[in-house]
Amino acid sequence: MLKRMIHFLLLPCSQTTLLIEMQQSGQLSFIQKLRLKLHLAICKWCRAYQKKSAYLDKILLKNIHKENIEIINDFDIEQLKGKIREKIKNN
Amino acid sequence: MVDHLHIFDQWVEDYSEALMRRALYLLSDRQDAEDLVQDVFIAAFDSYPTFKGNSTPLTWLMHILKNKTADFYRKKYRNDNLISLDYFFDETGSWKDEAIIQEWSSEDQNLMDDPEFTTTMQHCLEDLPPKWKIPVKLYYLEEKKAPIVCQEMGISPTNLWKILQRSRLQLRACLENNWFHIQN
Ligand SMILES: [Zn+2]
Repeated sequence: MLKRMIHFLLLPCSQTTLLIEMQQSGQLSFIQKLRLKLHLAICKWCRAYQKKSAYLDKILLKNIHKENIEIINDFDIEQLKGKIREKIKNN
Repeated sequence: MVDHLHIFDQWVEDYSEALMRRALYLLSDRQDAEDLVQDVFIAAFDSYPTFKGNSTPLTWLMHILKNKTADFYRKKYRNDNLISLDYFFDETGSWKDEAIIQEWSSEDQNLMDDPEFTTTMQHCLEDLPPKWKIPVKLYYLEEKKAPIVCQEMGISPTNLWKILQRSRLQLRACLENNWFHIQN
């Protein structure tokens, strides 16, 4: 019974990284929070990963609003406008 | 009707580029992005009577673009399976990748404002499979509102977490190889 309890509480690292995702989005249930906390208390690998993961999260949130930075030239845009106008007319 | 056409002519003039940039960002393919933008304008033209003017035309068009992206995603990736975690974890679910324990050298604000780092990060993001990339980008565009992304993309929360988990594992590895130069 105790063994089963421990097995239930101590997730493998693969599943812990999933809980880390949910934590970053504020979507963990009470039990999930507990399981994550217990795992992190004993696993230095996941602790290291959690730190990196939080950092990636911060960067992505900050930089995501950058639209495509590739150069789209005016000619391509003008052509696209032409195609759209054509389609609207024939619609 | 004539009015309607006139307004659209102006919208095509004013918003095509912004829509194209967003579409290209989300789909990473020029032809797909062009097709999507055309679909957006056609859909907008057809449902113009429902446009209340509560939002700006661009906001409205961007909203349609998001719906069209979700349609595109569902059609294209409906039958794809997620890539397994075998690359990162062994059969007991323990880390395979020793590099995980090594700290990143310069986790500070400077790095976030470093354009070279940002470029490396963008490349790593673009290297993700399209099946993951689109939800990841939408997740951050929606400021991490997971339920909204799931609803729009028609994917379950579990799938979204798995996509984010796998993407982040891969982004981490990509940055360690290309920026932090951590040896395995
Ligand atoms: Zn662990």
